[in-house]
Amino acid sequence: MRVTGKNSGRYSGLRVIKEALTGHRGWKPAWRDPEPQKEYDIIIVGGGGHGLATAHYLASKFNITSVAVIEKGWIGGGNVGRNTTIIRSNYLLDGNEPFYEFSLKLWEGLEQDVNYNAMVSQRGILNLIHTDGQRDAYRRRGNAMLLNGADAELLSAEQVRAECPFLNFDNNRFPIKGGLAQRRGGTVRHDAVAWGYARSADSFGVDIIQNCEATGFRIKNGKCSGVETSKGFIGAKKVGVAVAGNSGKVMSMAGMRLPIESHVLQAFVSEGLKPIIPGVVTFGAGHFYVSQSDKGGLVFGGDIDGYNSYAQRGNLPVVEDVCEGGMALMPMIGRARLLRMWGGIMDMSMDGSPIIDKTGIEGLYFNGGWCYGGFKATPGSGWVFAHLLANDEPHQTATELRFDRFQRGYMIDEKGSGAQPNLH
Amino acid sequence: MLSLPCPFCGQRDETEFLNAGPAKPARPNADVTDSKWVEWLTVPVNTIGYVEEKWWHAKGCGKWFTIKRHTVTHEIKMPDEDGR
Repeated sequence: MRVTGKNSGRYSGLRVIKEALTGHRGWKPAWRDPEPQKEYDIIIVGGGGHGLATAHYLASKFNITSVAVIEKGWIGGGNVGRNTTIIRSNYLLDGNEPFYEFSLKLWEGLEQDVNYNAMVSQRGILNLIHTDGQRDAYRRRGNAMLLNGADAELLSAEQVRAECPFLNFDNNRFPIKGGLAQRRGGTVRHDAVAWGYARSADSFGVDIIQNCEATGFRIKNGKCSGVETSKGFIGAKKVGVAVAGNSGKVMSMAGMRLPIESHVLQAFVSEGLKPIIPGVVTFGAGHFYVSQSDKGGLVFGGDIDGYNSYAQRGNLPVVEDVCEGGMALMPMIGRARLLRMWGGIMDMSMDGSPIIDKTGIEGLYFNGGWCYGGFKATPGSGWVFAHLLANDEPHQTATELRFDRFQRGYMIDEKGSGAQPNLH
Repeated sequence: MLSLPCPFCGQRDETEFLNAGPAKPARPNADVTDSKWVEWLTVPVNTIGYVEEKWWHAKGCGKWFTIKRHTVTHEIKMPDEDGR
């Protein structure tokens, strides 16, 4: 089915050498720039990581190639372009962990699957332990991960010291007592994920339509028959919405209100430094997580700003709070200068877990509520959303990620903080 | 940094306050249907534009108050400024 070479050809090391020797005249655009057709089997609203992954898996695994991805700006310009690039599957609850482990397994084969170098680097993630109670909790979490086929390793303080000698072990308030490591976690070049999925989906004949904003849904008698866009009406048998921070806005065009509140989350990059941080490290006593990019910049983040916001910029108190967390954990970064920071809009769900489900409107499907954990879920989210769109049944790892879980009383509250979107 | 109008202390920096989320509609009566009750509990006001929200001057006078804040521009006005 796949038309490899239709547009940009197959990428390989040999190809790079060949192009280098022939003046790089053979490279073609990685995807087409088509005008929308009158009708598709499936329209995906949102050309981010999740939407493009959905299109790729619809075409490659479910043989549905009459698919359009419509994007209001350029693809990969939303949250897949603004995150801290971490992949992991260190979740506790049954409703979550099988899904995230499924996603992590897809990361491991992603580059071969889409024929694109996404720089998937399994450099490991280390959650630090600061109290005895936290060690118990992490031991339980590690066991839950093992039961679901993931990897987990409980480390002593000495083992953590051997791997990360630069941490502040003897902080009087938050001494480091150990850590929970997931060696298969790591980081991925985030933009390449969007581009790789887009290029692959395009090679199957999926239309990726940029600068095409959804302005409404055509809904009659409880059935959705297409999307009104800035490029006119496009008909579809099914419409899948994967718009992350814009979920509330887009679904309100279908008259739906969601158990989601939009918040701004900031992330930060320092100037380029020599390699100092081996993998991803998370502070267990504050909210701070850090890794080092291949260019050398420290990539880190912390809490959401604390009040709902659609402004794609953050406020200074949280900058100070995050940097304080960093200084408490690794004082060596005190002399590093902050190069840039940005704010993205998070669709914070009520229990901190996502929703991938049908809606009350026939032919309209929703994928959102990723809070600030959407990047790691990209391949899994794409696959299970494609499964739902193709089969009208949830994928076996996503049976709990439903709208009605609040009504049924089966919240997936990973953090145990109750129905408060700004606490997750 | 937001500058918030505490009714008792006047304009103060955001760091002195805690946000308590959007002001909810009144709590429904006990005879409400299950779905309406769940909606009240779990479906927040998530407007693009002015949202009425509660703040607590936690590191100040302790006053609770309600303002309207624009969720894109962060402009702030008092709830009664537009005729309420």
